[in-house]
Amino acid sequence: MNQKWMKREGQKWVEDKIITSEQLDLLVARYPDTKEQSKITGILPILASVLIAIGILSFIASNWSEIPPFARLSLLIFIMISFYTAGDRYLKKGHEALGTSLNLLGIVSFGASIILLGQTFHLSAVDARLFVFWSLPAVYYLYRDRSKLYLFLLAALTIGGQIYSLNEFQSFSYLLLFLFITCIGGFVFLYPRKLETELFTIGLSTQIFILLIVKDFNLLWFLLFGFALYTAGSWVHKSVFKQSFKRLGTIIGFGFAYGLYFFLTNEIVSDFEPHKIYYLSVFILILALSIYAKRAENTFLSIWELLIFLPYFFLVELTDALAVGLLYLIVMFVYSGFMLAAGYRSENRAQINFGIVLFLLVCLMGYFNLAWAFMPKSIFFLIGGILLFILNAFLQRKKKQILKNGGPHHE
Amino acid sequence: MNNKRRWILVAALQVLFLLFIAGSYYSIDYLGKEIKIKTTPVDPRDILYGDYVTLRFDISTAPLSKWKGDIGLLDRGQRVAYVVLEENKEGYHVVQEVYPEKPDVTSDQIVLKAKTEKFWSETNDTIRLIYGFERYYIQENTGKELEQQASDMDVILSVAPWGAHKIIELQTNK
Repeated sequence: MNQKWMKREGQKWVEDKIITSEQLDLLVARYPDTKEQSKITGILPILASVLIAIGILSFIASNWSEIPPFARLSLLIFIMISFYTAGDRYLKKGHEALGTSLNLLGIVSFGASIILLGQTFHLSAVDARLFVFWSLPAVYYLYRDRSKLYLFLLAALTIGGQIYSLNEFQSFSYLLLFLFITCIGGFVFLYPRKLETELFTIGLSTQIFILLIVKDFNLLWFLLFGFALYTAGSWVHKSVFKQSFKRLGTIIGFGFAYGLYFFLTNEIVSDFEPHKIYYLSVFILILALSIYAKRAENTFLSIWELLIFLPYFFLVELTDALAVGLLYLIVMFVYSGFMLAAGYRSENRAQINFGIVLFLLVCLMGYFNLAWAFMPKSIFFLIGGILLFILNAFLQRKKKQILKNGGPHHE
Repeated sequence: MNNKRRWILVAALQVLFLLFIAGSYYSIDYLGKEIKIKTTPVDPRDILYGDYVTLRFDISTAPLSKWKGDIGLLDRGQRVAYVVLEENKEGYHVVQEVYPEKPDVTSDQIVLKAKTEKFWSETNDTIRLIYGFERYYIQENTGKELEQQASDMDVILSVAPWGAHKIIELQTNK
């Protein structure tokens, strides 16, 4: 929002006698637009420094083989030190964006130096240790300046290192996970912000997923991780963590429900058997913790949220796969229905919208999978479209009725 | 040192780290022991990766009988192993034994640290050993000739007493 726009709009308010012109002046003075301005001009130095860095790197790369090893080392150190020095100078002068981006370039050139030295000396890495060392200066700057740019770089280095370790060595780096949890987790714990917390939750889940792949675990354990994440959301007190943990945990649970529904109704049943005793005991432990937290929080009404995490797939042993697959569809239906009902009850627009999307998705899913085989295709799409229209119209109207009195309530 | 100047210390540590990598590499020249090993053919699609050549050596595999430890340890995926090398009659160093823990060796033996994995081949079980000098970086687009010879070369390797190693030279036999 800039002042020009405010003055123009405010003039109409004055004409309509909503506010006086003195009040308008006071209002306009309240929202100076310097911040917005500096945001735009702040991007330019970052862009400029990126261009310069690319220039330097490509110049070195094209002449690399002619430079003797010792000169290479000195050159790399010189570049790194210049970035850090310039970064420090601009930060002291108050150019935050420029100084930060120069420091970022310093960190990047530190990592590039390690890699180039490795090439010069024909050293090949055998694990992800390189990324651990590379991350350390980012940790220092993150805690000193608390700029989110360092957090993004640190996340990229730790998660990227983990993915690199998976691709190159088929191994998992516990050190990188430790660094991620203590440094990024610690930072978002101390200075909770929405975007950064989301990043932490997604990064953590990604690394756990990689761990399960590397250690050759049955992927169904990841469903338990989703459940654990959801439960952790009930146990932590910081609201940013609560939301983020619960949301991603639910998405994982729903993803698994859909995947299992798809596999089971197509009679693909191989490899659905994680170690039953371990799996169930861990599951029961998490379930107990979750129920306990719901009691303590007095949110027993939302106990239906646990429906999505129950391990129905063990039923495959008792009945045929198709029935269990359909059970997953029913669970998803019931779950999205509960979500809608809870949204209506609390008159929470975001929850209603989420519920509507989820409900329509499940309807479409079931319809596609069940009716695709035996209906003529033109009729299939026609009926599917009409069904979706009617359902959507019905749900939207219901939403309007509910939200009419009192207007929208945000979370 | 106050807070405002601490970044200098951090930058200095990074410089030291880079110097340490270079220093440990150069010190191998003075303190290392040179050994000769033979390369073996590699899957040709694997050799050339733009700016480096992938090498395989005689010592990159060993029959399972040379493993002096619990075989069950190998079944659990990759792990660290210590490879004892000894010179044969032709002057090449070959694998004598592979240990799960660092062994004591005589003065004419060399120990290299490797990552190991059990490997099922058609004839007999072998263990695969990865040492960390399987890549030889070259100037871009010069790999073609090296690629053709990579299956039959001698590698002169220098091994420092603390286990660090570097390739001194690639020698072609033809």
